[in-house]
Amino acid sequence: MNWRYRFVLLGFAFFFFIIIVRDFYWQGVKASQLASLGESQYGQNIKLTPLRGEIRTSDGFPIASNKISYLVFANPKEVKEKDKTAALLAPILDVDRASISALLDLNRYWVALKSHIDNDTKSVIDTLNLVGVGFEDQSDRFYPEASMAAKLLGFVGKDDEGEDRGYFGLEGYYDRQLRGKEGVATQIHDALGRPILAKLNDASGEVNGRTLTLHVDRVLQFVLETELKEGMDKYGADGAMAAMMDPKTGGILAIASYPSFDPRSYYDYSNTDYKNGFITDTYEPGSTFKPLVMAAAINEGLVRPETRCDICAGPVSIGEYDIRTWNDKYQPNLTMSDVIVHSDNTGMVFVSKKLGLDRMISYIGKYGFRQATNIDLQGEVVPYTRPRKSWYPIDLATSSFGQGISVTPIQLLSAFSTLANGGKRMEPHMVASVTTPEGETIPIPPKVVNQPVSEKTAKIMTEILVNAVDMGEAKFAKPKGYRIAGKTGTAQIPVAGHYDPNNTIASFVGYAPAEDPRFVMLVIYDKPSKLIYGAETAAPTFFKIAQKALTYYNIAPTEDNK
Amino acid sequence: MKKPVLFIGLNVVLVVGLSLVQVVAANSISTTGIQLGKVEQQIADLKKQNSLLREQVLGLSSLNTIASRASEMGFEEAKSPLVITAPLPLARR
Repeated sequence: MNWRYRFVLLGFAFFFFIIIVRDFYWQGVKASQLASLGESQYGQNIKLTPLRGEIRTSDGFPIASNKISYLVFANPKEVKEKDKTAALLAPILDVDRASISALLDLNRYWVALKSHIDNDTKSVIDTLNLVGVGFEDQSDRFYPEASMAAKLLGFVGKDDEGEDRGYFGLEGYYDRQLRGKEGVATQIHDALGRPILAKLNDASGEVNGRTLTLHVDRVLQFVLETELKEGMDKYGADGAMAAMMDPKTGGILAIASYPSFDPRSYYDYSNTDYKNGFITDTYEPGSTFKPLVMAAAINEGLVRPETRCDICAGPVSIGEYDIRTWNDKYQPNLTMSDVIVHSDNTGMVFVSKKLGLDRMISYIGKYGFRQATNIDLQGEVVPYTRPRKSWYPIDLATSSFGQGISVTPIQLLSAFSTLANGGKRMEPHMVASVTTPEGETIPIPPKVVNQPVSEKTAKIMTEILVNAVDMGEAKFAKPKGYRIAGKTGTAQIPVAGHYDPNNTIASFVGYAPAEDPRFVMLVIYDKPSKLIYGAETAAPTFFKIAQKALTYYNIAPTEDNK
Repeated sequence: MKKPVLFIGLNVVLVVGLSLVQVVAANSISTTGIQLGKVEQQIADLKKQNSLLREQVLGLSSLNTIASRASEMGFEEAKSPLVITAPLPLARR
């Protein structure tokens, strides 16, 4: 009997062991799989789209926000008068009547008729009291200032999987911060698959997007855009762009580029309209480059403001080329200060000879023309810069007056800001701080990139540039009583190995007030047709914006009759 | 024999009593779910209204709207701002 007893005991023990193992398998190893299988029988996972973060100007006003929109759906099994319903909805939803009829004829419990309708349209449909027609809340990007700062903002479109995604500008660059984290909830449905208004799980990991606060000043942005658009029409330019930067922090105060687009209907525009020319277009800066070369030579102790040019009496020959002044007029023994005032090309050749090729290349690098400025906008390009071995004497000469060298406007603005900031170059930046959904604000501190020239050189150059404005071709447009440092530029456009004889890029770069600059600004007109020089086009626009900006900042004039 | 009867009687009273308490308690909280649902719906409606009103406020306080309204009302841009500055004193006691 004893062995029988043991045999049965072992048998039971083995049997229970098998049960425990199997139980562990179902309860432990397969637990999550079975749980989701169970959930799928009475519910389905629905995605919870997080609220996209706002983009705010420095005054806290949201220039990109969110608004409620609705998805119109129908339950075809509940809709009694399908033809009448389709006929009523078609004109309101701006959808073909046949399309709605076809959807209502489907053997389904739920069909989407149209998404992203606004509250007014919903109200109209509500008044019809249509049986079997309902609404689901959605969220749309909302731009309270309409198309203002469109190229700065970019837009929110759909990616390959139909999800919202930011493209271009800030929406593109900060997409991951703005979009937040998607959550999941389970929607319970009955045996027939009809949704029951309850959720199994609300705490689903959904995290709303972060809010960006910009350096951009809404008033300055408005002024800059208004004046730039007006100037573009007035001068018959193909395009126009401008930006203002705080030279002390690198914060971009305003930026615009035309032609532009409307982010609310971005799909009506071509790809080229989305690009922000201020960071994506390269051009030869022309005379606006001269102050940077002059500052380099002063910084190296090679020239001083009163140094006289001994080759400025006529055209300067370099190899087979003759370098001429813009008006073919020559003044012997010009001082370096006068070279900038009169924008004299031969004087700049004199400076370039003093500077030499190695120093020229070195300063081009120090001013940041060899790399991206790292502005926090999507799409910045870095122009090609020729290697040392490809520089010829004519290249050294022409680059001294801004020809034969390509830059982006943001590079030039960043480089020029060094003269306004005691020689220090700041990294240009759009976003001043990021605020998390929990309310924590994370500031983005200003970043000094380098110091291409000394503070003393910057001061000397500022005085030369103030003189250039007071004595130059554009003095007629300057706001009275203010000391403004600046330089005009009228650059030729390279086309297939030569320069376009008919078109120019007219620009003006400067800062104010000269003694304690609040902003540095670059204005560019692409191929102005009515007037072609920077002094006649970009400079007046610069001064109009500057006047308004100085008034806005409550800065009083410091000189009586200038 | 008395003790079991008393014990059973007490148990019956306790069961009946607790049942009554449960009925009363269940009855009193049975409508709170509906109330909670209503409150949640109210919160959702108010949030929606708040969002719609905020949308209107932002639209109306945009610079584009203000500029066009100002223009309609006949306001013009100040061409030459007047700056009043007091002369600096030569010396102060």
